[in-house]
Amino acid sequence: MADPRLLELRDVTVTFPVRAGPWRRVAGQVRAVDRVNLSVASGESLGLVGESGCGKTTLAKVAAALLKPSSGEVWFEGERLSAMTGSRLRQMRRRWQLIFQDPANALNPRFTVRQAIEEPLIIHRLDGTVADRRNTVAALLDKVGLAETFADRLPSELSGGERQRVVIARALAVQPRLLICDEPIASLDVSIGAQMLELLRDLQRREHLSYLFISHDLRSVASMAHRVAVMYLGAVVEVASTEALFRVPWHPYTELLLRSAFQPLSAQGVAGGEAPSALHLSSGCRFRARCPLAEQICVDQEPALIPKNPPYEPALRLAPPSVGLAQGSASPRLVACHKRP
Amino acid sequence: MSALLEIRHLSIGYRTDGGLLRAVDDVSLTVPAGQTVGLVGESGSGKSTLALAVTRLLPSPPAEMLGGAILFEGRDLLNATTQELQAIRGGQIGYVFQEPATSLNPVYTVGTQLLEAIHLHTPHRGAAATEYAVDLLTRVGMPDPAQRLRAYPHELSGGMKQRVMLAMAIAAQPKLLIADEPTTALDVTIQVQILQLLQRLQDELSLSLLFISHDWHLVESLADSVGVMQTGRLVEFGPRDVVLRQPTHPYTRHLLQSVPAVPWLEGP
Repeated sequence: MADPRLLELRDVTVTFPVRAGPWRRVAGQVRAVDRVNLSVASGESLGLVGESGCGKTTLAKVAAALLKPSSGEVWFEGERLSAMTGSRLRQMRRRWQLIFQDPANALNPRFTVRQAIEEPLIIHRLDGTVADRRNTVAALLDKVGLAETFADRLPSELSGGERQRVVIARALAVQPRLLICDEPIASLDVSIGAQMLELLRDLQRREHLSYLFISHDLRSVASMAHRVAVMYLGAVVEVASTEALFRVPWHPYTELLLRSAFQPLSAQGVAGGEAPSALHLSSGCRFRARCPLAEQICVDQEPALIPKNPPYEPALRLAPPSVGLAQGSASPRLVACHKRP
Repeated sequence: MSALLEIRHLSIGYRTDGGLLRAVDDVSLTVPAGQTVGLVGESGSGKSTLALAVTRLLPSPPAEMLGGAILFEGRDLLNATTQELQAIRGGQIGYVFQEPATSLNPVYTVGTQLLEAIHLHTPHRGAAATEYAVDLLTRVGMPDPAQRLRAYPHELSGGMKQRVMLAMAIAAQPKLLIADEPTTALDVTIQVQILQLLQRLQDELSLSLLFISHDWHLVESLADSVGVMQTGRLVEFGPRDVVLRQPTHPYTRHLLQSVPAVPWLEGP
């Protein structure tokens, strides 16, 4: 039996050099991702939310082994990716696939839908005869709700939603276990986005897929994820089951995010401040400059991401669980905050 | 309640190789003085075309006014001269667009661009103009306003750039502000700050607001009445609570249902 943890990030840090001055000398390092520990279980959707520049996409690249972490390890199905190179890594790559934000950029404009879907089959030597490939493409298109007649069209002849379906079909071609979706509906209209989420949920049930679902849109994360991790300036500040997180956001930043997204303007406090630049991280808690609870300890010490329990039961309102999702792994809520018990 | 802006049976087309495309088709709506009208629709529904058409900002060709009237304080802008239009644009009607980064000129400082608006539309000159610029930046909640006059757009965050755009838009104390997806490019916590600012400016200056968005939550927060556009047509228009709670048009219902539900937040 394989490890129930499909993807595991252990203490992953990614730093980028910051160049400045007329000679573009390295003037410092920016920590885009700072000691992140996360795992995605088999069949699970892990949502990753945070504002622009918080390191979500960098983390996605690390998870997809497109970027080597500066320190820390990435494990997939019990194997350490950070130690792998060459053909071994290439073989592993078909176990996960990426879905990006803009399907127009993710497809080669000169490839027909058939060529786009066949390419990964050929690269991973999963192609058989011409007839086999034809059947595979038809079956994949069917999985994403497109008729076989789409196979000979070019991306320019497709709508945004149809293109994203082709991208998903291409990702499924190599029978991955994990899809890393980086803002998959951000460039689509609301109604098309809703259909895309429905398709992804449906595929998860039928194909037993796992998702790392990255989005700035809390609504789509709530409807997709079993668990949610909240990132702020490179670090995960809270991880909890989706229901627990949305019922009782426990990190002050999570609270601010949810209030901003869901409460009417009249219920918003005097929201001041913006996220400081990741270039100039201050000491202690990275959220303290915007935090209403900040005290001296938040300046002195960086809070660790540790199990915490809100002192009240989360079931404040009776509401059905999320639509048709399998139960997420029972996991403790982790919060990085000195002020929350 | 008098109508500040009244659009009557407006139709706008784009001349294309394939013939005439009706981007706005027989749309009628009113923006009463001091009120906020929200306009919702998906991409290509004609909402931005309508917004630009109000002060005739659409380049022609390819755009063509096919009929109707745009009455601003009772005067039909479709018959206005270029000179009259120039006084109205940025004078009595201000604009804020989606992407503050592309609305500001990257090679000029905030001060230069703000002063240009002040010179064009107000009597302030010299030191008084600079003072007024600082005053405007203070009003839009810009920290260190006097220093920020010397800042270039790239030195400001997205939220701060949008504050500068708002300062320029209100420089001439307009009566109507047309905001086309003003917070779409911003993070959600910054979005709230800009919306709060919009609401405060509206109170202080008794502005009317035509607020265009694809986000129901924002429209619900701000608008007194709501219009829904689909492929150029205004398919529903009415008071906010009626459109949101008892929509009559199937497309409105479809759009409302497309918003992913968060069961733990939305009680019965």
